[in-house]
Amino acid sequence: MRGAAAYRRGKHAILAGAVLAAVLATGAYAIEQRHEGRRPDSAPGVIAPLSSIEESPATAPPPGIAEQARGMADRNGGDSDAAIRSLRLVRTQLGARGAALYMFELGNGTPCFILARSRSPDRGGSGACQVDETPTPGVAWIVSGTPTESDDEAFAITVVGLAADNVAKVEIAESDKTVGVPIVRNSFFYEIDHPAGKTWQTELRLTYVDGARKVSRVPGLPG
Amino acid sequence: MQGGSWVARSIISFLRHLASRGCRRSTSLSLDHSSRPTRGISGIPSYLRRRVGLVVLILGLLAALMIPTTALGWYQYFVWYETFSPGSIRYSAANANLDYVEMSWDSKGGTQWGQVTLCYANYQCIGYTSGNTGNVSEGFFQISYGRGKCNSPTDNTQQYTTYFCYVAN
Repeated sequence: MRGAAAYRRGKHAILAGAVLAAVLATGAYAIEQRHEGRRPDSAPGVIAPLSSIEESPATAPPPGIAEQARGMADRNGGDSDAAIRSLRLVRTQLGARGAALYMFELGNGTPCFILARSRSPDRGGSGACQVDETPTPGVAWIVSGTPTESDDEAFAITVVGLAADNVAKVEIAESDKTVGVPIVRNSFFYEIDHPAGKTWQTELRLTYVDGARKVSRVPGLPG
Repeated sequence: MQGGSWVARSIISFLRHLASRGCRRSTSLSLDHSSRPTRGISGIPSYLRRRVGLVVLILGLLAALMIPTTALGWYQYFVWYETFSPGSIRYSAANANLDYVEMSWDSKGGTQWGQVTLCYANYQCIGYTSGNTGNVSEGFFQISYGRGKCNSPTDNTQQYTTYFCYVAN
């Protein structure tokens, strides 16, 4: 009887040991994966030169922007040190919140930008990296906003992006008007006034230096 | 739940087994007085103290792995190489003071969009950012407690691979 009991204890111990080892191994794998997590194929999206940005002096960014740029580089197959070295303050005093636009690249030519709205130096912003080609060559852009109008931190729906040297004109076409958006230092910024109940029908219209035209739908938020 | 309790019982059984092995080994060696286990001030034999230390270490490791932390510096890849269809939505685990969410996906030449936002515990979301360049992020807001969210907007037309969705505080 004692032998049988010892055998059962031993069997349970082996089973439990295996479970414990599996739990520990799974945890170790999860930790490793979290640290190694990054996009694998970070081929840069094709974008023409951004000469006015590239020629401007480097910027000492706020900590929140630097941390975001470093993380975006790490997670998307870039070089975080190169990202920080390439950081440029492109625009300031944009829109109702006095936002600032930062641009950087990942060390492999992939252009990225961050729109910083907060006055807190520890906050990041709305950002993107052009890791894929797009139907609008030379233009990398996002649409960003919040539908919570009563919130203190609400901000208008914003279209912001980079426009390379091959882009001559940017326009935003809404359901009832078309507005020219100035290209300043290879960038553009536009806040959309969108009252509740108004139909969302918005397009980004581009005219290139060679006369070609491209139109891209601006998606509504939330989607 | 039953599976979880079985695992817990088995681990406890395993730890007891370790402790009992330690007792038996010491007993068999106690014929030699020079190798008898010594007792400390607390009266606990040294071999048991070593076992207790091992048990505490293992339980601490398990707790560190299984209990979600709410400390600052937390982050999570809540999507990793997953196929998104138009309308697919994924939420991160909930945590405090979230202030950053990022998504990276195969935009199929800029034709397929991705979107990120942060959501409170009641799933009301704030601060949407959408793009078609294969990577978007939002780091302006901070929510007291909630989840990161990434999604393929409903008006996308194709499935795509989302390489990762990432949230942090």
